[in-house]
Amino acid sequence: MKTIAVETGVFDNNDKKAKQVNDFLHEKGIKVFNLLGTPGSGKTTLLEQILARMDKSKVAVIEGDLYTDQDAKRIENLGVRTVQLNTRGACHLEAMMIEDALKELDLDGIETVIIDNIGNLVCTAEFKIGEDIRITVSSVTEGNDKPLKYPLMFQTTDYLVLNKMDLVPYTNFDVEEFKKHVLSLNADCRIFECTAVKGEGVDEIVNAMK
Amino acid sequence: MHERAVTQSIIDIVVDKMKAEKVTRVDSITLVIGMMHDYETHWIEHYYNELSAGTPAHGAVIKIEKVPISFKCRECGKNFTLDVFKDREMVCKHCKSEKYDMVTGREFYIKEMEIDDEDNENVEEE
Repeated sequence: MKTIAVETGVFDNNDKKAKQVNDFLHEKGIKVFNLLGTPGSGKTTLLEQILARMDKSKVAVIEGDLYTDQDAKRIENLGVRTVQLNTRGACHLEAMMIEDALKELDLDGIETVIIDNIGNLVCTAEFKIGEDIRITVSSVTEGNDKPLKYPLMFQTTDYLVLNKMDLVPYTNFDVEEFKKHVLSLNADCRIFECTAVKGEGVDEIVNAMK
Repeated sequence: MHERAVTQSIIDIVVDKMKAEKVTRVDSITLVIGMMHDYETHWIEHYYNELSAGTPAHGAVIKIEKVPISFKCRECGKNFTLDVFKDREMVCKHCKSEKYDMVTGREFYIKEMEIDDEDNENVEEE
C-alpha cells in the first residue's frame, strides 16, 4: 500500500473561477454583491428597494432561481438590466454560472452588479461567486436560532440585514440575542435593521454599498 | 442535497490526480473537513458511489478527518474551541471576551489517497 498526497481543496476550482470573475469586473471598475438568505426572508423585496435608490443605468442584476423567471421580471420592470440564471434544481450558484451570465449582460456604464442568489442558508455559503461583499438577509419570523444552526453563512457574510423588523412585536424574536450570536461568529459583520416592504432602513444599506 | 455538487468536485480532483500519477485504482481517499461545514458522511459516500461509476475513482473507501472549530481571542490572544451548534455561551473560554477570530473549522480538502501497488503496476516506488 502506498499513500499519495493530494492536498487539494474541494472548492479550489470554484474559488479560482470566482477570482477570475472578480478580477474581470474589477478591471471595469464594477463592484459585486452576493445577496443571500432563506426563501421568504425578503431578498428580492430588499433588492427592489435598493435598486429604487440607485442610478438604474449603472446597476445590473443577475437573478438566480431554481426554475422560474418571476423575480427577473420583477427586477426588469424597474428598468434594470437583468439576466436570469435558472439552476434547474441545483441549490446554489457557482462562479462558472456567473461567468456565463456576464456574457449575456451589457456592462457598458455599469458600476455595480448585484447577484440575487438561490434562497438557501447552507450550500450558497460554500460557493464564492466573484463577490466583493456578501449581504445576508434574515427576517425576524425565522427565529433567532439561525446563526448557530447555519454558522457558515453568518460567519462568511460581510453585511447582515435583519428584515421585517415591523413584525417583532408579533414574534418571540430576540433581536439582541440574534445580534450577539452573529457577532460571536463574525466579529466584523455589519448588521442593519430594516423593513424592506416599507422601505425602512434601506438608505443605510445603500450608503454602505457605495 | 449539496453533497452532490461537492462529491462531483472530489471525484474530478481524484481522477485528475490518478491520471497525473498514472494509477488505475484507488483504495481509499482521505478528506479533511472542518466542522463548520454541514456535510453528512453518509451522503458523501452515497453520491461518491453513484457519481464515480465508470471512472477509475470508483470503489474507493472514503475516510473523513473532522477538524474542530477553534478560535483565537482578540483580547487575550489565546486559542480555544467552541461547539457553535451546542454551546450557547459564545465567549472566549479564557477571558470571556466576545471578540475572537476563527482559526480552524473551515477546512475542506482531499488530504491523500491510498493505492495498492499490485493493482497499479505502472507506479514507481518513490
